[in-house]
Amino acid sequence: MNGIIFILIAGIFVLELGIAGLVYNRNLVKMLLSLEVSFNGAILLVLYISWMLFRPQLAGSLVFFSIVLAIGEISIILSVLIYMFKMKMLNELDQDEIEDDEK
Amino acid sequence: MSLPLDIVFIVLAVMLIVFGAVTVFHRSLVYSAVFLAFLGLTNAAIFYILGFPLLAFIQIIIYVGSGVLFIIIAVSMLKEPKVARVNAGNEVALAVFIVAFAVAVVVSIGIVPTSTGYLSVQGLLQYIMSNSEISIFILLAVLSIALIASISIAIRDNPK
Repeated sequence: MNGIIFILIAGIFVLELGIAGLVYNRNLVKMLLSLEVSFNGAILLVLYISWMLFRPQLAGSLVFFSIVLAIGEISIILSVLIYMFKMKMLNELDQDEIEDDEK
Repeated sequence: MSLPLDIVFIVLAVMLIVFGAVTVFHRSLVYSAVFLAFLGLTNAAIFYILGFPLLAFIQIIIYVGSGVLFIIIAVSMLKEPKVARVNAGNEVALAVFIVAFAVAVVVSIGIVPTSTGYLSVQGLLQYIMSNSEISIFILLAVLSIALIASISIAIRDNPK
């Protein structure tokens, strides 16, 4: 059996793990981390499929831009979370807590 | 494909799954962020083997070196919140997850490639520079805005 198939399976598994973590966790930072896990799985799948189809340039540049944009996303989201936490807008970084506060 | 490379692929796939699972399900935020860094490094190794050395370099330097490190430092400064879980719907989510994974495995077995492509650093840079000048400018603008916004948010004082 060709060993590269395990990379494809692992990519799909990691993508699904990230989505499951997004649903399963109620902590805002954990949700961000789960999003990053699914992002890693997604770029792995994109590169794998492009490698399989012998068209690596387009996927390579796409993943290049997406990695750099992911850094901007992380910095903005974490800054907002830290600001809200510092200003006592959030007592816990917990989605249930926020929903209770809103009620 | 040769047997040693197959073993490398299997080991990397197992590491990817384990690091992903630990990142999602570990109780501590700091440990989750650390394992996200390991996940990024494993991903970079796979990129390199698949024939994307520049993307492996960018993944290590930019994603792990700055992004995940920023998450680790920011999370270490926070008070560790108690971890809450969703009570309802766990079983349904797990069942959907298992079914989707089984379907994905069955489908993916039929599309295994037989040989590799390779994208050199020079080739990728040439492609990006010749086809995506506007994207690069937009990217620079977005990153500058993100930098300025995150700094201004971080240094903002309490309005009360």
